[in-house]
Amino acid sequence: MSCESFDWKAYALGETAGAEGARHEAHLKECAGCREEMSGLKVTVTALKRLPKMEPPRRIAFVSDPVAEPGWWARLWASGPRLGFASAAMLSVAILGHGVMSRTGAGNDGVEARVAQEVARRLPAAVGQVVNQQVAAELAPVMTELRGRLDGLERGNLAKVRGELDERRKEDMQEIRGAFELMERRMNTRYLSAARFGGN
Amino acid sequence: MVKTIAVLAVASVLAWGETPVPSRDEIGAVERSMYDKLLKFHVEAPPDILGLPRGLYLDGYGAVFTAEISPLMTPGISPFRPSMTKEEIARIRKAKEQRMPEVRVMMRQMLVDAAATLDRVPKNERIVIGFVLFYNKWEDRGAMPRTITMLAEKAALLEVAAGRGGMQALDTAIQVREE
Repeated sequence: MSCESFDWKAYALGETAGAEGARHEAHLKECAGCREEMSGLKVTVTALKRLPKMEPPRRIAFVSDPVAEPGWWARLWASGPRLGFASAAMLSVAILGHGVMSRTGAGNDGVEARVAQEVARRLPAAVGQVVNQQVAAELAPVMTELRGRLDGLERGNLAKVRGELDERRKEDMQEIRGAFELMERRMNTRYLSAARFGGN
Repeated sequence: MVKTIAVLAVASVLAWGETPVPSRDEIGAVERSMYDKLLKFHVEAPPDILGLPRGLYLDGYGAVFTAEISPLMTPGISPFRPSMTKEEIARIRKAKEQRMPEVRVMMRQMLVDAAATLDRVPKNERIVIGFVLFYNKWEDRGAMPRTITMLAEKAALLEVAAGRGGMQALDTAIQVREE
């Protein structure tokens, strides 16, 4: 038995009874699709039943009444040029939108290029400045400490070291002077031996 | 004839009374001989002659000769070699110490040669040879002497020179002073 042979709307509204109703119920047990459709209809019926009951209006306007006549805008809209006007308007909007979008896209490319160029120009200096500031801030206490230590060395050990170095330098100079004197004596001996003994 | 003989006899007596003195040339010959010996002392590593041999004759005492040497030519300090290492100092000291006995033998030979050369020095007078040894300030002198002085009577040296006395006799005759 096909599902099309069942009138589920009538069944949902309670208009089927007797054997017809039993046949609907039997099919619902077997067909999942119809059960789903019936479930949706029951929700609709339930919602309709929950609506408040209102009295029908006492006066019903007819099409021939002036009240029901359409206004000038409705008549204009429903007139012959309506389709052409709508088409022209849509075309204009499309052309305008395309123009705006195209110009906006080109502008974005230019701006992005200029922004990239400006960033490339300014970034190294800005980064360098920031890095220098951070390095200076980090090094300032260390430099202060080192300067203090150096001052201490200057006051304490440096004078002693300088004295030792001066003494060492004097000793070196004496040794070098002695070496030169020795060399001079050797040279003198060579000259004298050449003069006295004929150059042997 | 008799007069002539008499004059010669008087002249002989007068000449016999004068003291013979070695000339400067004789002293210079000994100096030259000493210098040659120093030059030939070691051909491969000659000594450093810093004061040439000089001699004087002291009337009534003898002939005295001196020289200043370093038994070994040592490297000098320079800006390119500001200091000597301990190893170098020890090596130089060892080399000098090994050279010292040869220096003493050379001085003995100089004494004998000087005695044979200086004919006018009386046999009872002395021949003296003194060496001043040079050391750099940075050197480790240790027990090595600064001066070596050797003296001997000329007669004893002539005995050795004539081959009548050996080295033992020479050692007995020579007085050595090292300081």
